[in-house]
Amino acid sequence: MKNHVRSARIAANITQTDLARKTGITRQTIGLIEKGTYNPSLQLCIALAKELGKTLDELFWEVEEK
Amino acid sequence: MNSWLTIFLPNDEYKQQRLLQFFAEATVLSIVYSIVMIVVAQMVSLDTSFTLLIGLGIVLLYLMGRYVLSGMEYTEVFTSKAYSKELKKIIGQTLGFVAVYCIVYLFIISVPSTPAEWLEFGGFLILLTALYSGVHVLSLHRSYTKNLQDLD
Repeated sequence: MKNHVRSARIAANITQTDLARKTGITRQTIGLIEKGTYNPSLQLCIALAKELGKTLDELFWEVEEK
Repeated sequence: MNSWLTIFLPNDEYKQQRLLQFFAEATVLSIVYSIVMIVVAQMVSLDTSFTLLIGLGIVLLYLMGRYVLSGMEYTEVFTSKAYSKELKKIIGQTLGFVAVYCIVYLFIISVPSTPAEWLEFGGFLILLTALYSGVHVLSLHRSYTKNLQDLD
């Protein structure tokens, strides 16, 4: 699943390690989510959005390009 | 997820899901093995203990193999420095394992008295050490490779 976690994390100046620690998962899982290899649960999506100061839409909603 | 199984699972949800997937696959394997053995037992006489032990071995080997090859044991190894550090830890653990094996064998079981017994002791030690370190090094290598791929 495409998402904007990586760009939001970099914009917030947070490392993968820090984000992983704050959301209670491993750095490997953060990497998998950013790459779109792993689809996180809604609970984890909300935790990530809160930590990055974004809404779920901003992080995970895909806007079709016209 | 509310299940008694969760107490044996890690907190990371990706690891949880993958482990549950491996358990489910192992359960299917176990069911297929049991059905095959029930059919075979109708035709030939089987040693019950041996048959059950083989089934258990298949399930445990499958779980261990999947876990090691999945590359999710060392989730924080992203640099060659971290890789070397973990490798040193594995070497230390392996030496500890050798020490415990020698102490248990020589002081609790018995000191080998014949060349054949020494050979058995040494051979078994080499085999276990190679297995122990081999599995951990393979797991570390798979984890490191997977972590580097996810960094792209």
